[in-house]
Amino acid sequence: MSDRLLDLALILSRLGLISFGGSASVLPEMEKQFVSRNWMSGAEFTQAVSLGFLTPGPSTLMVIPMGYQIAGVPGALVALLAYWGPTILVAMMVTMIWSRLSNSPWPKAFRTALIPLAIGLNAGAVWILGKSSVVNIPTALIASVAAVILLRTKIGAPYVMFGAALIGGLLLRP
Amino acid sequence: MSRMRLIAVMQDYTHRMQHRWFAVKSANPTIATNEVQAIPPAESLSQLMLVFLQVGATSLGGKPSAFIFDALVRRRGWLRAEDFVEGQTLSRLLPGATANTLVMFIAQRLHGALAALVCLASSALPGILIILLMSILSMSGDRPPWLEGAVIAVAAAAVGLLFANMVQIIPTARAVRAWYVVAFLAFAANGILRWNVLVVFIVLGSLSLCFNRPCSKGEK
Repeated sequence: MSDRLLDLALILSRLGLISFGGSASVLPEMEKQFVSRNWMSGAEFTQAVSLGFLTPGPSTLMVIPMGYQIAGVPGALVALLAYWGPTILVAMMVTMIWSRLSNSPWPKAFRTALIPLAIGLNAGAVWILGKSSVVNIPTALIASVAAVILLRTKIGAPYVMFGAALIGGLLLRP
Repeated sequence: MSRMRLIAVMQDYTHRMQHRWFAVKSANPTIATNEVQAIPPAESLSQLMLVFLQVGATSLGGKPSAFIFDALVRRRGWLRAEDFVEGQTLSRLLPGATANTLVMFIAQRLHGALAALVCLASSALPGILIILLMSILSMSGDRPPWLEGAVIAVAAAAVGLLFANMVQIIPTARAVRAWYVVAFLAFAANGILRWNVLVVFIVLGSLSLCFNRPCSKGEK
């Protein structure tokens, strides 16, 4: 493995393990590491991040275009394995331990206690993402119509998202 | 088949159908009891893999958790909203992609540890292939205007999806003591004040646990 691939693997595995609360928390550090090493420009970094949101799946897939930009296809694969591998192992161990404990009285109470927390955190996500994505009347309309369709009909989320993409592609060109 | 074996099989079937019914009922509180025929058949690992593959291929907007809720809780009733919430909150507390942890949590709960890895692979594969292809095609040039428009609209629709997801979880919280206080504080702390999710979890999780601690004998 070349030095660059090794460096990439070390940086991303370290950042993956401290990315509590989603990848947004480590984006500034990630940009600093890649741009200061002249591996990519700030604009290329932003483009990689936006590709992560455009692609189906978790937004952390953004490390693939970053790795590709840095070292081609091997870079993309090393970036994904380094960023996901250690966190998957941690998640695997924790979910197995948690599942064994979750029917005892205290873990059961803990499960109940988590429900309002999840509602509040979801509301927070709606607020944060809404501020950056719902910025004018057309985007507010799209968000509202999507919510109403999902709450009032049996239409699945993928159809709603593809419909939104189609409308956006036709009507929301910058 | 012996009589005892037949009884055991029938009891197992009844138990499974009851579990399925409560899962569907919790996902769709408006369902009347006489709609029990609408319960979907028990899911197998291959069916679950297929659903995760579908979610992995269609969950635009970077938030697959909301699509997982839509596919497994809202539409199929394979998972109770409470179990989804438990997995989602746990996945938020661990490092890495929230969706990956959530997929592993759900698959492990429904079909065991090996299923966690199999379902993770099936949910991740479509996105990996698509973004790799897009990297090769787009990192060298600018995106066309129609693609920019699609990205803007998908981001807005993702907000609507998250909102709908939150509204659908609320009925599961009604039996939780002081749920609205904890929910509001969590929203304010993480959404408005931007506190770290780990800090929010420790402070408000402890508060919520205090309100909902297990009752000792004789205590209601």
